[in-house]
Amino acid sequence: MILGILVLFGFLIVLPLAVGMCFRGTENVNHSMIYVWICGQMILWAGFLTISIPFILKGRDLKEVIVAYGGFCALAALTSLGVCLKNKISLRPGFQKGKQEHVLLWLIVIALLVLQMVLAATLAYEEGDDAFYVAVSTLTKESGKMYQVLPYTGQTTGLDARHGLAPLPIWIAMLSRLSGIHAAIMNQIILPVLFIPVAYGIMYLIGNHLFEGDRKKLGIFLLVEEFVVLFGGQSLYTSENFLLVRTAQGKAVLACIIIPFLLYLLFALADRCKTGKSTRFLWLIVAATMMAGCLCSTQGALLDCILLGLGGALLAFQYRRYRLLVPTVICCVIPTGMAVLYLILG
Amino acid sequence: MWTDVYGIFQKYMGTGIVVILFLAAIVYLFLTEKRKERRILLIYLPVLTLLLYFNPLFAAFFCKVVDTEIYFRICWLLPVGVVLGYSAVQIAERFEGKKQACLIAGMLCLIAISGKLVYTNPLYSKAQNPYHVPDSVVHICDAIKCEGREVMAAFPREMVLYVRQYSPYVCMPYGRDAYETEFNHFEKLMDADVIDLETMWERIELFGVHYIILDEKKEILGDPQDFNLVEFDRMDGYVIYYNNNLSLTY
Repeated sequence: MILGILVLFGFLIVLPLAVGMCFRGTENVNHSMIYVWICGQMILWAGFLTISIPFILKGRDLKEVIVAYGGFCALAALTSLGVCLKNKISLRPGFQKGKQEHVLLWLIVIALLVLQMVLAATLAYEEGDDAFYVAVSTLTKESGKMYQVLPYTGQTTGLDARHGLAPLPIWIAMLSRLSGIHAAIMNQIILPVLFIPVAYGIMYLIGNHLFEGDRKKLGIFLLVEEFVVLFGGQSLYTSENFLLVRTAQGKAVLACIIIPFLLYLLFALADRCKTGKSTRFLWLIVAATMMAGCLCSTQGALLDCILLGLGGALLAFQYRRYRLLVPTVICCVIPTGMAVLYLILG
Repeated sequence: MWTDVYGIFQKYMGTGIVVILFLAAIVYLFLTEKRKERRILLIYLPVLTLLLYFNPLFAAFFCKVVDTEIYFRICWLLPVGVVLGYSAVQIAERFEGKKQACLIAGMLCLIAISGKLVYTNPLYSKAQNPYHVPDSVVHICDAIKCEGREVMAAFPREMVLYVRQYSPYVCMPYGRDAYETEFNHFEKLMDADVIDLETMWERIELFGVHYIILDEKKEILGDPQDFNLVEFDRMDGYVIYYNNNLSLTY
């Protein structure tokens, strides 16, 4: 178990930080470790999507995906390290130290976050879709077969391409296989405890951008955000409800991590448009995030393209920087390709 | 189709108060926000998304190509939390000291009253184990597990959701989708108040069921021994019958 937790710590914390480290300090902005981690994870998810889809469609074994993905991870981490050394980016994980003010406000924000993490781990929710997604992870971890067995019953079937094009459950199965921790525990405890703070971390990034580092305003913003999430049970369809109820399901990751992060990237793009700074690295992250959206849900392709398409077009026309439309379209190519593949195979 | 689109939005809104607050916040920002990039991403983008949602051409495309039932996911593109949070801070900024604290507390109360605490959902319960499945499922799956092969077992409806989340070695003749498919006949027989073994036997043979798990309080019509069903174990209020007509060894 301890070894398993160490493996997970390596894959879920250290590796994304290592891969994302090369984006720290890009374009003369000193990015926070939250941003670094999320960038790294988006690159890793994009890589996992690219690697796993051919193996899934060819009906190969999980073991082969793990080997190929392991190679990709090593390559991504080494490339990041190389970029850091070349650009003299510090490899020491640094956390921005804020002044110790508005302590009570921040204590409430942190307490509510911890409460949500504890409740995610200790409360069980009778969620029908878990019978599919958790079962896919569980059986893939044990058998290595990807989308060739009916998760509800265990009977053998033809390739389920529709779900196979959004292989987040396979990523979870891989983590489960590597760590030896049961896939149900991964889905119900470990990933919710990770994804909930990540979702708020993205809100932190957006708030920090909007309030230009004003800690009091940022604290109030996060507190309001937490209340919107905690009291988001007025409908089963809200993204807030998905964050707490279906945390490790792909659609929840799409709604609460991918889409908000794309929104943050649009804010960052708007900022660069205003100041005329380079957006080269930013587009790389946008492209990776779009692909990560496809990993989470087959509808991710469409939702990501709508958000980026509308946001990119609005920015291009408002700032009269029509060249923005080129990378916007390029970033939509892979999700569009995934959508076409979905229509052909699904 | 228009009824579907509107109906789905109503379901997304729930009581509707949070969406009204969101729209009010957009109007407030429209009147007060001066910075261009914020107007683009916090006002124009959500408004365009809403227009897209209610666009009959787009709705027809989405519903035909994807699925009507998940059309609500377009609403995930609305940055409800960000717009509410940003507007709340902008409003609170106009006050100072105790007035500001009272205003923030008031706004939080308004959000709490407008929505519903997620954890009050009756489908929540205290997790019985780290797998978040009932203990009975864990105990029964462990008991019937057979080294080196899968087993086929018929479970009562309340356990069907969880069995394969916990154990991929236990197969079932029907799953969560039983309610929609031809297999539902077996599931209905298992869910009946009185278990009619004679009627069920055809299905047990058809699917090659090794184990049948029944609520021990349920009445059984017919003697299990007449069908060569032997009591394998009893646990957590369930009785497990083993089908002696099938061998679990190769």
